[in-house]
Amino acid sequence: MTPMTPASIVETIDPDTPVHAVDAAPFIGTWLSTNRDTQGIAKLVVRLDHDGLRMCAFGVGVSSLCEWGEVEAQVFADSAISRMGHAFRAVVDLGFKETILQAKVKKGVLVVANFNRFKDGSRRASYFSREFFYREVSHES
Amino acid sequence: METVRYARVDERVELAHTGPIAIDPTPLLGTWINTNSVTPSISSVGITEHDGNLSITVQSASGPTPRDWGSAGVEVLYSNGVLSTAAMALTATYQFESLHVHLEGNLSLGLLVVATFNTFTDQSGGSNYFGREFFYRSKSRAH
Repeated sequence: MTPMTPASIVETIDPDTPVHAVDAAPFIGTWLSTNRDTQGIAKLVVRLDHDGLRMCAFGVGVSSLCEWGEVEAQVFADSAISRMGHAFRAVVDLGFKETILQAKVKKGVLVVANFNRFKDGSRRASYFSREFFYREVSHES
Repeated sequence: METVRYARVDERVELAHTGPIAIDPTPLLGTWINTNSVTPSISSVGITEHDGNLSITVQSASGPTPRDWGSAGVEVLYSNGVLSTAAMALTATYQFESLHVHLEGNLSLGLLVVATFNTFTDQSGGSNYFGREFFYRSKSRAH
């Protein structure tokens, strides 16, 4: 049997409310790791286009950054009746591994939890990590 | 063409063993109670293992009595590093009548942090929304 939607959620929704996109503005920009010696994700670029939020992660490579490729990100509000973006979630499939990225802005810091699952039979364990990013300040006039 | 085998340098490791790394779920097992006793959302989470299969149960606190989300299989168990065997996080999915929920939990400082990404699958007009709550481990066994 299909479970019922939790009543706490259904009760908060006005069915006459038109559907609008959740505001993704809090996430847009280039975000740099607060850890200059990170061995993980060094940079995230988040932008908005006509299809919605897009995100590209850059991992630290041996000699340069490793671009993971741009993917769609889904934006979430802080409640069913809010339009303010509170978090986003994206899935990056690199073939040999899949990473779920969940991000939220807290006190100006982008907190990114990532769930990494290897698909290449390399015997590495799926692993979780959490990293912190500050927004790059543009110096363009 | 060289095959990319890592996307961040901390994934670049040499494995000395031949079998897959088995992640021990023990750190996640048990009943977890929301640190916010008046939460309108998830009040408790149970994580159990039977015959090597992990499952999760969720109780929602809305209303005077808990509301049971039912049991869902844990999709992926995550450690805290590519060579680690200690469970650190998990993912699960719930599909309700008009709501799809990605549930992603991780351990932090002895707490279980549970994030839910809630997507409406109907035309109700509600915003897709995010929730994040903190749970401490109950001294009683998992339900």
